[in-house]
Amino acid sequence: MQPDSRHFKANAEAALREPRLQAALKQLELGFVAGRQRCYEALPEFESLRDRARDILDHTLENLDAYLLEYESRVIASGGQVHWASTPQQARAIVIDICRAAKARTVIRGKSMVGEEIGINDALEAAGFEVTETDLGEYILQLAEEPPSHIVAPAIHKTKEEISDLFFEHHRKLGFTQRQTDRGALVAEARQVLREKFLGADVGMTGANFLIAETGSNVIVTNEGNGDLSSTLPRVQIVTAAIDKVVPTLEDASLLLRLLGRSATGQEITAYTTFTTGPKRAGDADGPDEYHVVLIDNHRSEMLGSELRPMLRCIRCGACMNHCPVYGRVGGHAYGWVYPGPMGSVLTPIMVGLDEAGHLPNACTLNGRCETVCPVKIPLPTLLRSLRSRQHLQRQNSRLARIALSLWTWVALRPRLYQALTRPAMSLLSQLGAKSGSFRRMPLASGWTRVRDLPAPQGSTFQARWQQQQRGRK
Amino acid sequence: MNGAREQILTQIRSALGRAELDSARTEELRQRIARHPRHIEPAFDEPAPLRFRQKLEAAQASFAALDSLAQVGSEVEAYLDQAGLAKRLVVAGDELLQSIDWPASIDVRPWVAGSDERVSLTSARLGIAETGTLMLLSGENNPTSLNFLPDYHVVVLTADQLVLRMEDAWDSLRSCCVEMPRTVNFISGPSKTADVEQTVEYGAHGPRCLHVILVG
Amino acid sequence: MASTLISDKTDSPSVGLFVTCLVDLYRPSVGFAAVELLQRAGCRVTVPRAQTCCGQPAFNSGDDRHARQLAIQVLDAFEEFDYVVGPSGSCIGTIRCHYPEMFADDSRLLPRFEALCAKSHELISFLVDVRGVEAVEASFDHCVTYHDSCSALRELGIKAQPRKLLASVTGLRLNELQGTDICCGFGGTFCVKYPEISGRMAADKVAAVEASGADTLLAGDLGCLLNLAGKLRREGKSTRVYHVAEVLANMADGKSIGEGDD
Repeated sequence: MQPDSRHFKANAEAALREPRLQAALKQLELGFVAGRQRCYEALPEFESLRDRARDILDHTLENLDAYLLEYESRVIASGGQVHWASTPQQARAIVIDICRAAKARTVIRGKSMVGEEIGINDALEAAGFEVTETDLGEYILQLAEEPPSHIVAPAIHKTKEEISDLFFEHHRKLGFTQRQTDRGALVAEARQVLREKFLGADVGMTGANFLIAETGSNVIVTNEGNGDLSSTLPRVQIVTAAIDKVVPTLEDASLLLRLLGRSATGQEITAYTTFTTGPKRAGDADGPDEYHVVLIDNHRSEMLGSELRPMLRCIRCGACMNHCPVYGRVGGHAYGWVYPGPMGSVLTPIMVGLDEAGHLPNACTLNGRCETVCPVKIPLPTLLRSLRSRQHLQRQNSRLARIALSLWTWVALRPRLYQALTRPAMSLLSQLGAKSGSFRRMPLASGWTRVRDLPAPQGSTFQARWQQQQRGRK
Repeated sequence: MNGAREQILTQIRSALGRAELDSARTEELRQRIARHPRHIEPAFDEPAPLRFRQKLEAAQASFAALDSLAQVGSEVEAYLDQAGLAKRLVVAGDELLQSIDWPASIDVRPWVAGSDERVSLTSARLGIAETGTLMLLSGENNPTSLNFLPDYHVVVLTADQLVLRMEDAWDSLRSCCVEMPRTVNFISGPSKTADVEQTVEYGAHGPRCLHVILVG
Repeated sequence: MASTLISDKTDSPSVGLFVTCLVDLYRPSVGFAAVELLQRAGCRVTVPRAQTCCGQPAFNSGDDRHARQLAIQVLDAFEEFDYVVGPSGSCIGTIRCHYPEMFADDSRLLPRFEALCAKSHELISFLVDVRGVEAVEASFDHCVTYHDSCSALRELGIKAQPRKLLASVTGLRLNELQGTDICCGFGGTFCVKYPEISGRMAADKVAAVEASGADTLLAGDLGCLLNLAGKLRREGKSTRVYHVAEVLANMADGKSIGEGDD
């Protein structure tokens, strides 16, 4: 997916003026945020689970090479194949090769964020394959030709009317001539259309919530069951997974699963949690003949060796963006790529470059609500600030801001000068603003006064008044 | 085969500030896997069968508790009647289900590939009380398709198959199976989606309705 | 002569008042209220002259070099006191939580900064948690609502303390703000870099203030207060805005933040 993060500010401002998007985002507070809070209150062990999850994942990352090798050997032992890709281009080439070798024509996809990351749909279509998303939200976006705006509920920004229009436009040629407006009818129609795709597909591509080193399994978590149908019906299954998805054992996964649903949507467990290992066994009634895993790096090994390592603990629950006051007002598209919100503001600059995604680490008040709810305790504000340090060192931030900060520091390191300058300035400002109490406009502060008044200062400074008072007492 | 595998492993090791792990350390990690330690497991008070039922019903599955397997046939008939369905279903081929006496009024079919029956009946290997979850394994007599393709999915299990948590399920699986089955499904309710204006609808791709019969 | 606060402490520690640049430049009355409260709690208060800024704007902008320079200035000016206390969650949060981070690799300075951070406190939490103050002697016959600033809430764990002391103010009724744990949109340079988003966050907070039915808004951080007072004025609201220290010190009779003569 081509990034558009450099237009974050303009896109965010447009999003603020979109009433339907704003209404959809308000729902997040009621749905996911309230849901997580209910789960949190109902589970006394929640905080202990967070600590343990962080520790398990840190341990895994410390030994990532060994666990990946163990995972690979188990996949092979179960009859599967493992492919490694450093870059999105390599990953795309591998997937296309597998599809070609299998003489496939049609591909169905279960939800996979790393699949979006490598731009697999466009690549497959360009190579002549027919690709259909099966997660209902992703399917809707495929019809609309839009990217996801949330990692768990990708079509959160779409209204029922928009979905109704999309289905009517695209399903007519499949024989559905009635425009549906009822939610249940829309879901039923999608079920019928996608059922045909499931039954006819040659290749099923899925992601992985976790990869289990102990058994060589991939774990997927859905409510719809589309991931399961994609894993079971086609004759070839391809799992696309990033290298940071591996965990050591089945029990480790069980602990993480307890945090995942609760943090994401306020569910203790999703309708379907599936552990898949290799292709069908001899004698199995159904299942694919071929099982491939494509392990993707794409800058993760680089993050592993930097101060950003904690980001690799992420289990893609979406809690951070659900609780982010900025995401909650501008939605996911403004971030311009695959991953929005706090986690997206760390990953996007690393994966598409800081000059493209420079806005993202800065469009944050560092309020820390994300860190409070992250199930694996990623210190998101610290990581975002660290990206700002990189920008500063690489001189990628605004020249004016750098000059202002240098000037401010220079004066602030000279308290007497600072006090000599600020006292008259504040007195003047205070006199100018005394009558109305605040300024509607202020030169050099238009960013402030565009949206709010600037209160007038009280006048003089604390230091000046205090020193005067002290002198008076002597 | 590209050189990515070696490149990635090298980069990981360099990021971790070390070379490949020595055999002693590798063995330690293998031991950790072999021990598969259990972690903090949430406590709950309710007896397993009660919690199992409550969680399933809260997830909009329906539930029936029977005294013996002999009652399954008539329970299924009653279920089909109240759902307004034709008395036809496809049944998985495992031992437990093969021993059920079906009323003559029900047309019971074995599964064949490509079958598009509306109602399926399968057995579960285990039930997990903590989350109201069924554990179903793929196999010769248990096509995974039966858990997902039909509109109505009926699952039978016996009370002695109930365990408290997913970790107990893993212990059980390790004791019965030499290797992982191809598919282990944990099913906790009917298929659903909230992708249309964040309101839940059932039957997104998998079954619209899940009916759980607990015997004993 | 002001009475002492209700507390069981009898010692008289030395406190260096960390004024904060916003209080110093914008609203000295908060500084005087802080001094008042600290003295009533039995502390000997000194206001070091050689203080200006804690370095937070530089730190949050990724300008680690300048942030460290300012941190060292704070260390030099405040190290000698028993406690460092300031009327701001965000500045004290920077000192307590981030100074050690800034000097994590400096074996010479880190121990000094760790010592400094261990004795640095936000004003209200210092009064309640360290000085054991149970109640203040003040009156404020208004319906108020309280905004928890993000750094106070999350970096310093301050939530109960201001409410405890406000409960002892005669005539004061506290209506809790809906969504009190949601950021007001100030965020330092964020509010001028992304004014539209910041303005929307402030507008939502203003709507919550109105919905609370309070006629006065309080908080413990001047950044939040200037942001919200500015938004309230822009929207033509008559809600008055004070720093919580002013109310607790019984010094909230002057013009509120952003209030004019008319």
